[in-house]
Parts: sequence; C-alpha cells; structure tokens
Amino acid sequence: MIEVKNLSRIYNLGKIKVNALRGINLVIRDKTVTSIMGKSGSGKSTLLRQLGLLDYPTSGEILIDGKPVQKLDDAKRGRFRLSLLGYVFQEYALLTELTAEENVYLPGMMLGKNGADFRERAGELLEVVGLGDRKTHLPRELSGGEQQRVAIARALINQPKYIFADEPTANLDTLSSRTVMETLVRLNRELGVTVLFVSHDPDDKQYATEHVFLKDGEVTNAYL
Amino acid sequence: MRISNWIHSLKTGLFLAFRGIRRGNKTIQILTVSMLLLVFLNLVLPRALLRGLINTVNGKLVTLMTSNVTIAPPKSQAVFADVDTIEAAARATDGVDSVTAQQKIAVQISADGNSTTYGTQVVEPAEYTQVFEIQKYMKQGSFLAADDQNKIVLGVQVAGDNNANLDFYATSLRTVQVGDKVTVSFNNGKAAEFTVKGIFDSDFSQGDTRSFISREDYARINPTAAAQTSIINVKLKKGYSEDQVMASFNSLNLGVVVDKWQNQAGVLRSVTKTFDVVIILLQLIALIVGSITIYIVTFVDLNNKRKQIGIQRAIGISSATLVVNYVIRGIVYAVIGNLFGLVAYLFVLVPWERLHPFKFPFGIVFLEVNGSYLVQVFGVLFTIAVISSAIPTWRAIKIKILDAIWGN
Repeated sequence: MIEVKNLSRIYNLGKIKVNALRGINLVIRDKTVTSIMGKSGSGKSTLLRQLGLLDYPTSGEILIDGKPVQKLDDAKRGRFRLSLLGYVFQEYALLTELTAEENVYLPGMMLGKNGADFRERAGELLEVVGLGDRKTHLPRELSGGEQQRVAIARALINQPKYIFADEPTANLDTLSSRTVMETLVRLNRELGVTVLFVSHDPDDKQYATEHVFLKDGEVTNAYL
Repeated sequence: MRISNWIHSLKTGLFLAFRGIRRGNKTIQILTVSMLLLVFLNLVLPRALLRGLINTVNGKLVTLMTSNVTIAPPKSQAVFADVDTIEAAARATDGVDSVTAQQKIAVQISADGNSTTYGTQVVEPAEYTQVFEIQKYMKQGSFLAADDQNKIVLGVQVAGDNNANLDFYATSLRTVQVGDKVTVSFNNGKAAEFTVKGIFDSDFSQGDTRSFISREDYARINPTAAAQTSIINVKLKKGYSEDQVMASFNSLNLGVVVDKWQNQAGVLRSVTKTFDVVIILLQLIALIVGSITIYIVTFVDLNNKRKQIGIQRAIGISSATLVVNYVIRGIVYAVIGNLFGLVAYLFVLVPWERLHPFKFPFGIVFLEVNGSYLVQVFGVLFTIAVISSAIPTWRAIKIKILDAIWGN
C-alpha cells in the first residue's frame, strides 16, 4: 500500500515559485489499477515521479508498504526502485545499445539474479507483452508501441509490487495505445501488480479500478 | 554497499560497456580511436626524433672525437711523463676494449695558394682505428696505415673537395682531392710535403675539420715532440659504463685526469641539453593537448548519452555501474588507440624511416625506439583515459535523474 500525506512539491523557477503539488493526501491500495488524471499542468506526472522516487518532494510524506521513502538518498532510492518499483516513461526510455531482451533483463542483473534465470524470465515477459519474436531487435528496429511494451516488460523483470506508468500511450497510435493499456491491466489481473498510470486521455479511465483527479496540484476527486 | 552488490555493479557495468562498444556508433568509435592513436604518436614521435638526433650526435662524438673515456696528464703538465705506463694500465683495466694515444699539433696546411690552420692529429693508425671509426667515413681513398710515409688524411671541411656548399669551404683548401700534394708547416719551422691518402666526411662539421698524420711521419720531422702525448682515448667494451671503468682506473692512483665523453662534448653538450629541455616541453604540451582532447571527446560523447544515463539511473542502475560502464569504454578505446599507435610507430613509421632516414647536418638520424618510454606513454594515456571518462560520468551522475532524461 502507498500512503501519501500532505505532499507538496514547489519548483523554483528563478524568482517564481510554482506549486506543482499542494498538500496531496492519498492511499493507493495493493493490486489495484489507479488512473491519475487531469489536464496538462495539473501535477499528475509530478505526483507520479514523487511516488516513483524519481524526484524529491518539498514537504510531506510518502509511505510505501509502511516505510517512509521521501528522504532516502539516491543510492537507496535506486535499490528501492530496482527491487520494488517498475517505471514506464512517456517516451520509450529504452537503452539504444541493448536489444529488447537485454533491455528487459538489465535491471535483473543489478539484483544479481542468476543469468540464465533472468534471461529466461526476460523472454517470458516479452512473450507476455506480445514481443516474443522481437527479442534480438534493437530499439530503433521496433515501433513506438513495441518499445513501450518492452519498457513494460523491463519494469516487470524484478517482479515489482508497483508499476508506475507516466502517460504510457501519449506517443502511440490508437491500436498501440489499447495494446499497451490492456497489457498493464492484464499484468494487474494475472500477476497482482499494483498499477498507477497517468493519463490526460479520458478514454483511459476505463482501464482503471480507482481514479484520482488532479487540478492545479490538488486532488479534486478520488474514487478509491 | 555489500561486496555482492559491488560485484553485480561491476558485472552490469562490464556488460553495458561491451554491449555499448559492440553496438555503438562506429564512426564515433573510429574517430575516438584515431584521435587516441594521434595523441600517442604526438607523444612518441617528436621525442623519438630528437632523441634520435641526440643519439646520432653522441654516437658520432664518441666514435669520431672523444671515445668513451679520456685520460689527460695532470693539470700541471701539458703532456704525459710516461705515456706507455698509463696506456698499459688503461688496457689492463676491466671493461676497456682498446686504447690510443694522440696529440694535436698546430700546423698550417697549404695547397694551390689556399691554406688552413685547423691543426692536425698525430696518431698511431692501427690503434686509432680500433678506438675510433673514422675509417668508416672515408669519402675518397683510405685512412692511414702503419707503413705509410708522408701521407695525410684530411677531413672534407679541410680538403674542400670542390664543394662550395661545405660549412667551412671558405677556410678550406677548396679543391684538394686524394693523391694531391699538400704542404704541412710545423711549429718547429720545418715544412714537409704530404700526399693526401684519404678524405673523410662524417657529416659532422666539427669533426671534419681535422686531419691526421702518423706518429712515425711526425717523428721524422720533430723527433722530440713526436714522443709527447697530450691525450689517451679509451674505448669501452659493450656493457660497461664510463663511471664503472673510470672508478676502476682511478683506483690505480696514477695521478692523471680521467674524464668521460660527456664532459668532453663541449658545445654539443649544451646542444643536447637544450634538446632534452625541448623534448620535455614538447612532451608536456603533447600531454596537455592529449589530455584535453581525450577529455573533450569523452565529455561530448557522455553529454550525448545523458538521457541514456538518466534512464539507467531511473531503472535502478547504480552510480558505480555507470562509472564502470563508461570508464571501461574509455579504457578499451585508449588501449585500442594506443595499440594502433604502437603498431603504426613500430611497424610502419620506424621501418619506413629506416629506409628513408632524416638527414641532419650532424648526419643521418634514426627514430629512437625506447621500450620503457613507450610503456610509459601507454600508462600515461591509459590513466588519462580513465580520469577523462570517470570525471564526466561522475558529473553526469550528479545531475538529477529527470533533468538527465529530459535534457535540462
């Protein structure tokens, strides 16, 4: 379970202070699919980055499985992300010099999993996301949708409890978008992974079981 | 961090590095390796050339003018009191190959209205050619032999050799050739006609202003002075140092002045010292230029990979892994660049230069091949590559993950 208590994030842009998040309070229950929705600039990606430990909040508290994580240093955050969280970026954030399979099993290497095991698992995950025949392809040889699905498979390699997806379909066509979102939902159902995704597309609401709406850095509605 | 974590970081770093090298942009890789090759050659070539020049100068100095060690009479005497004893002691010293005694006398040599006053060397031809290699530089004719009578050997700068391009042509005999007669006027007022037996050209102007007559000939002209010797030249066996032999000889306490060739080099000594300073300056500049070049290339490459670094950090790749990743790349490029540089130097440039050697006023110069220096250059560039990769990587790691990914 993820608990967010009075979370704020202020960006200092020169002399201007931008309140991206204003006292957010939230509880994300395990094994749910939660959509974080809102207009551009509402703070939804900022919120997800705080939960994904990619950024530091200005104030407030984030508890992941009861553990406060907002003040962890970079190294500990890295280990935390590696073992417990999977993150899918809006852009297809794959490593260009690695094949699809290598991109997927790279985080596994960091945890020192058995080489053959994590390669096998990477292959399985690529099958799960429908790319079993694209293992040896480099990112530049894959379409946007395929790259995003590789990124999802990578996010799953260390069997994380949580997956955070930041507008995962923003750069995809309709068919690819649907495939990606259905993949996330299927992973939730089949593997019990808790999924949080950010979207500004109202159609994506259908994939979530819980919904959080943000406006100007504040939660306006939450159906949890 | 636990040891197992370090091992995973190292393994992952190596994995990323070698995948990156295998699949990286080949044009950038070729340019990087080429740049490192040029940095290597830039560090090696000027030094090799100047050291080759110094070696040529020193080699000629030793084999044509000073020998390895010189023995002079005590400072209070102009000539040896008992040259035979000193020569015998020198010959018996461990490490001595051969010994010759000589004296330089003031003479005027004239031919066809031209004259020179460079003086001449009075030598024992057989001994002299054991210690020195003048006979290898004969341009015409040959060097003196033991049974020669009234024969003289002239340096090309003395004979003139009909070559107006010679450094000292104006003060030479200008047109003298082998077989010509020259008149030698000695300081005891006597003059004698000598036949030019040979003309040598060592490409070493300072040495080519000399001339040689035999002690036997000089004894006929000036019997008292012919027995006098002002210097003994000693050639060492290979593997012996001047200091070693000098220490052995000095332990005999013969009351003579023993010196090594370096101290006899005169103006050439300061020339070679200047070259040494120039070499250090050139190396320093090459090293700074090389370091900055390697740093810039690595920095630009890493700057282009900032997003990739951000992604790696976002998915949990540790800082240590990232440093290993990019440092290993730097090391691999440095090793390949240096190896290519080494191969280019040893198997292309040096053999080519052996076939087409550089010609300097001092003679032919060969590029020096100094194994320990090549290893040093290798080590230095290796270290620079490590530092030049580690610093920009470390800086890139310090950037916030999101800034790295979004390119802020």
